[in-house]
Amino acid sequence: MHNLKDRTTPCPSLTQEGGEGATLLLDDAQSTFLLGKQVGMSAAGGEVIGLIGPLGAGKTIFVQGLAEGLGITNGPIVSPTFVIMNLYQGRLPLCHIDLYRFDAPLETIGLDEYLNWNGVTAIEWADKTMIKEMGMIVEILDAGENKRRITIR
Amino acid sequence: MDRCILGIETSCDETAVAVINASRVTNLLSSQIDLHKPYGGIVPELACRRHIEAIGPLLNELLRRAGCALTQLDAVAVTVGPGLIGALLVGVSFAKSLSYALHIPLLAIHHLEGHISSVFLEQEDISFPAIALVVSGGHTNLYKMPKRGEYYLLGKTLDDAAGEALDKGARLLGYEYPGGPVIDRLAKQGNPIYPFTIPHRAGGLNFSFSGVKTALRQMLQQENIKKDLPSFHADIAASYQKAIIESLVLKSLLALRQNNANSMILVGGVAANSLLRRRMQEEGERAGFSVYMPSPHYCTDNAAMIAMAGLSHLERGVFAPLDISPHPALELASFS
Repeated sequence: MHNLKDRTTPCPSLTQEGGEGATLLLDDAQSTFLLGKQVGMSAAGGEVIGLIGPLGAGKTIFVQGLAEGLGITNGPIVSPTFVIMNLYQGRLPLCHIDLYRFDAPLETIGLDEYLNWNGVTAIEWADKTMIKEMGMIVEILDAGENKRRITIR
Repeated sequence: MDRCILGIETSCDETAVAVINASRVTNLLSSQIDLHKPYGGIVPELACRRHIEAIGPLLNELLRRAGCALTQLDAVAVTVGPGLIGALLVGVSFAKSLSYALHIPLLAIHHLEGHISSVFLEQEDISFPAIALVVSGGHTNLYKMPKRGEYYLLGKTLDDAAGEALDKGARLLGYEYPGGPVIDRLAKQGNPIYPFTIPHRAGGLNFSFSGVKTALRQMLQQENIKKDLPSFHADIAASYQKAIIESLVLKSLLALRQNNANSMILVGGVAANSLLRRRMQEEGERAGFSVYMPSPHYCTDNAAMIAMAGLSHLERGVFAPLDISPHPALELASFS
């Protein structure tokens, strides 16, 4: 997963599938990384992004791309499953939260200071919480081999 | 001179206190005295509230068991980071109050320095320079220690920690959290017959465990895998665990050789894994290094290790001011 940033080919374009959100078919982990990077590059601060998908889908890879797009300088971006939350500095600060160890559903995640701030917050296993602050939900599903079907809404 | 040091650790799930009094260690966790309620996971806000509820009664019980009065304490050591800020604040505020009221020094301890110090609870004479591997659910870090209390980061995981990879492997096989001990137990009954490559072998002193997790997931999805065999879980656990443990051992040996170190220090929750303990001992000693690791009950989060790190700070005269703040993302190298 360490040569991801070397690739320069752009993401596939968004294809509409039905009325709700946009769905992408991605070929590999690099594409997930690049999609995250694009979201990071266009972030203005205050975004709360929820990530949904099974173990090994690529949620952390998306956040690694997001961090690259935010110009995070104190990486690498590592999984916060056990420590719950990691903070990073960049063009905008990034708060990386992981709810994997929690029992669903949570009415609060008890980290409210990162839901309304000037940085970007990414929440893995977002389907375990009922908080309203998430402006974007990224759902990553397996589509055979290394392919992923990603829905953004 | 024999000192009496109180250690406090509240960086994540566990409220922990310990006293080291004339080399005698008394160690107490909130989960041991039935304050722990069944919430499954840990909500940060709830963790914070639970630390507040637990810490007072826990200290009283600790002093009773240690046969030690509050006024006998010579210093108070506390974890100041990294960790959940709300949880850290409880321990730090409590420690500051004791320091102020009892007129004793406050000692600020990095959580990972605490883990490294756990080895000194049972070992006094470790020959430096040493390499320390801190490996748990949240961390996989290799440090060079030219001497006690000095740390240089040599490598770390680029994605998942080794303990997380073991835990999620167990989940993929259908077992509940915490999965690390499950993999350890299953693997003892199995044979490593499934092919997993050693993760990030060419990656120098850095680690990567995200790929081996995905490899396991893809292997479980294959149709020709014989999931019905009674030994399937044991064999696949043995294979998966072996790949992760060999990566830890291989990179530790590389760090030892590259830095002309004398000793290997293995600490953190995954240091309780029986295969890692055995393999690190075997390979380290075969290559001529002394290998040290704490007893398994000192591998997971505890406050005895914080008190031990505090003792070293006290002896070196490293005191913290009363206005010190806990920090959720503290680096050990820059902190020491």
